Amino acid sequence: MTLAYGFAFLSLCVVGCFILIKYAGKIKDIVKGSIRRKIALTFAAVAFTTSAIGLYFGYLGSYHLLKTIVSESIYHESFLLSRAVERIISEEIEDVRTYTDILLPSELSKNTVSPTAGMTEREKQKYFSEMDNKWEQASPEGSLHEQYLDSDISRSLEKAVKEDTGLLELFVTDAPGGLIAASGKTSGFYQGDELWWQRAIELEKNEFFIGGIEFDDSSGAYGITAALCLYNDNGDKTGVVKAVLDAKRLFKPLQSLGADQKKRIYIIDLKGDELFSPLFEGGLAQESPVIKEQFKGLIESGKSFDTLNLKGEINAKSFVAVQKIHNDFLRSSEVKWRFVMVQKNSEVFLPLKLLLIQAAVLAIVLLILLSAGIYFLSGYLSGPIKKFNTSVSRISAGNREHRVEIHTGDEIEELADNFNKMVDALVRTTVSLDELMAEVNERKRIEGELQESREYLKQKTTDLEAALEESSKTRSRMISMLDDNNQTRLKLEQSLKELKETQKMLIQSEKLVSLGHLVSEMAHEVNNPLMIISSRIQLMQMGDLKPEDREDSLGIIEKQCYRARDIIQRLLKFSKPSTTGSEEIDVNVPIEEALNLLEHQYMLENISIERNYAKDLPPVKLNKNEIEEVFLNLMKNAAEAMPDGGKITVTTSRFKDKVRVVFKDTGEGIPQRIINNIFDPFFTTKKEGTGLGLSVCYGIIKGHRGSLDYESVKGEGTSAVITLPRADKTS
Amino acid sequence: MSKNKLLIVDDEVEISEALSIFFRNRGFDVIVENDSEKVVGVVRQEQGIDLIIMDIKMPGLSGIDIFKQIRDMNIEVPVLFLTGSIAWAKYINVLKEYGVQEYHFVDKPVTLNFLLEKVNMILKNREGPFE
Repeated sequence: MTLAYGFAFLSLCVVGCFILIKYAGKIKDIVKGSIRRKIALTFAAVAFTTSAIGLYFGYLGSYHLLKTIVSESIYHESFLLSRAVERIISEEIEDVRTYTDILLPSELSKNTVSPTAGMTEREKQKYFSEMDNKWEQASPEGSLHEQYLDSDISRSLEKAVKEDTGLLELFVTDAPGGLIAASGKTSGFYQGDELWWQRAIELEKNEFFIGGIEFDDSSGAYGITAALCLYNDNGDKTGVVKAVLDAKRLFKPLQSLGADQKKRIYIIDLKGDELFSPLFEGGLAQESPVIKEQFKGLIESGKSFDTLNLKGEINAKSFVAVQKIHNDFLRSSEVKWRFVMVQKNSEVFLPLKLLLIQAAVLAIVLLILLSAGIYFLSGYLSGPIKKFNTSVSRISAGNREHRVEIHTGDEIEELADNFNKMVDALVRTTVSLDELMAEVNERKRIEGELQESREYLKQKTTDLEAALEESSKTRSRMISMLDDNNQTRLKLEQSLKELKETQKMLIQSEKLVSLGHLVSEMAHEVNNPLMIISSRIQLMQMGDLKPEDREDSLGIIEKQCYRARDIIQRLLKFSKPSTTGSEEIDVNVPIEEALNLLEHQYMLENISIERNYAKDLPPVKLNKNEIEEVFLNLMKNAAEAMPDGGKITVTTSRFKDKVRVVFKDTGEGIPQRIINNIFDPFFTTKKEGTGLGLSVCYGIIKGHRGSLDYESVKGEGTSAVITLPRADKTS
Repeated sequence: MSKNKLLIVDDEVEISEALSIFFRNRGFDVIVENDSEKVVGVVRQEQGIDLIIMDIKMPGLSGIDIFKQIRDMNIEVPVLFLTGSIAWAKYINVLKEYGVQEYHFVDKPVTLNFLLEKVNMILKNREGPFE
């Protein structure tokens, strides 16, 4: 049995391992997560396994211990009870002997002559069969009853049966087998043909015959037949006495001797094949032939104890103990009785099973409580790690000053300290690298400056030397040159011309610098239309647009192409040398042309124009196309500053040696914070603007050696003021 | 899975429109804002913006100003700068303390599929362990 359980446990372990290996991935997923969870789950798994194994072995041990104790106790109890059975039967038989010894001899001696004395065997047979017939038909009031059942001896027998509850029946026959006296009516008159009688007549003086347990018809109860042979003083056989013992009453005292309700007691007569249970309701368990067979099997195997899976009425696994009933007279009568005691396994092990369930419930409750406890406690362990993680994230996001702050006094604190040291080292290295780079750049700059100073000094020295040489030359030539003023004037003019050339180059170079800046900005400005064009084309290629939208897209693309072209053209205009194509004209002329151009467009829809031109202005040397663009731009700006309509006043006037042009609008004015930026290339406040307009204008006016300024009063309007030199004062 | 929500900020209506067509067709939820002054308000009000694609040079507030204002309000939504400027390297220095790196900038004009890859990469990284 133990082996079977062990094997089952082992196979369970193998199946468990198999599941563990097969579903390792899934188990990993379940365990995946915070350290707290891992610790709690691991603890739960270990604790569960330990408790399960503990409970299993505890139960197994208790089971075997209990089984041993119970089997021992049942065996001993059955032994004691079998001895009790022996004693009860002995006592009852002693009682019968006493009755026969005391009652019978004196009565029988009165009537020593047998009715069959002197008869032949044939006559005897005839007599007995006649008597049997008469006995069967005899009425209770008849003479036959009076003769045999109402005699003194019969009455004393009846009295004995009444007084002794263990007796069912008591009667006496003479030596040939005919009835002499009885406690009640017997089944027949002639008893000599009965087996028990034939065995009893052969008995010695002190011997007994004991029959099997049988149902006695006349008394209606289970009875045990006991018989003995009667001898007279001369040693002759005078008759046979039969006593029927009430089996159920006989064994009643067993109940008080220790067989409680849970244990069942059986007495088996192996020879008579009968099964009798004195404590069974209904006496003989004739309805349980299967149980009988099982008991007989156990007895034949020679064992005195076993657990059997009993069938029939009990129908349960049970402990069964068997004891022989020893007695001298039983042995001489060849009666084989066995005492059997039965107790159901389930009754024995019920308390143990209840205990196991209690222990399992307690273990599960403790397991849950402990796991929860461990989960919360392990927070102390994983908390610092989480904190560490947060700090590392902050540092890795670029916060160089941040450090990990953990004071748990364990390995994590050690790790945090070392990590902080590492970060310190890294930060130091980075900082020193930055410093090094700065130093290198500073040195390069100083070297450059030094080089420039050196060259400047060299140049100065050369100039000084040249000047000295020139002065000495001049001094030597002074006298001759004084005579020739014309030559000197020519030289002066030459110098002036050179000077102007240099100045022009200087302006051009400044322009180149701002041009470089402009080109990089232009790239940015052109990239917007390019982005629009490229994304529209990509959307069309990838089929993101509906067919009806494709036409619009083509329109957008074309528009953006022109936009890019315009940006580039404006820049080209700005970079062109500005003195080509100049003519001397009245400044009112390009103004009027620009106005005409504007009025043909939608630009001036809600805006009135007031022309305030001065007559007889001196001509100005102008590049007409360029100056027209300036005027156009300024008036466009003025119009855009008045989205709800307004007035533009154009005033021209003479101002000293210059001509002044003012465009005044009635808009909101330019906010103070941006007034210094308005000439910067690409500075714009408009959604669709390029930011090039005013910077280009500024460039053009500068090219004409004029000036462009804005005056603005918040809420009243803005004036763009242009001054241009008179044509005759230009050169 | 819910849609990823993009905010596209560009003063050029045509650009923001093309981008919104592109991203909407690829399963994104797209909001567009063309006025730079309103972007911060939109970010504050809208729930669950996953990524902002933003121009830098705009009238009014620049993309850089907007970015700083958003971060100073402790809103950690990732921002991808889409700029035509060829000299955006200087902005990395300015925004270094916010963890902005070179891959947060994309040049105009851009291949839309490249932009999509970049957007997906940033969205994926955002779900990483350190965010």
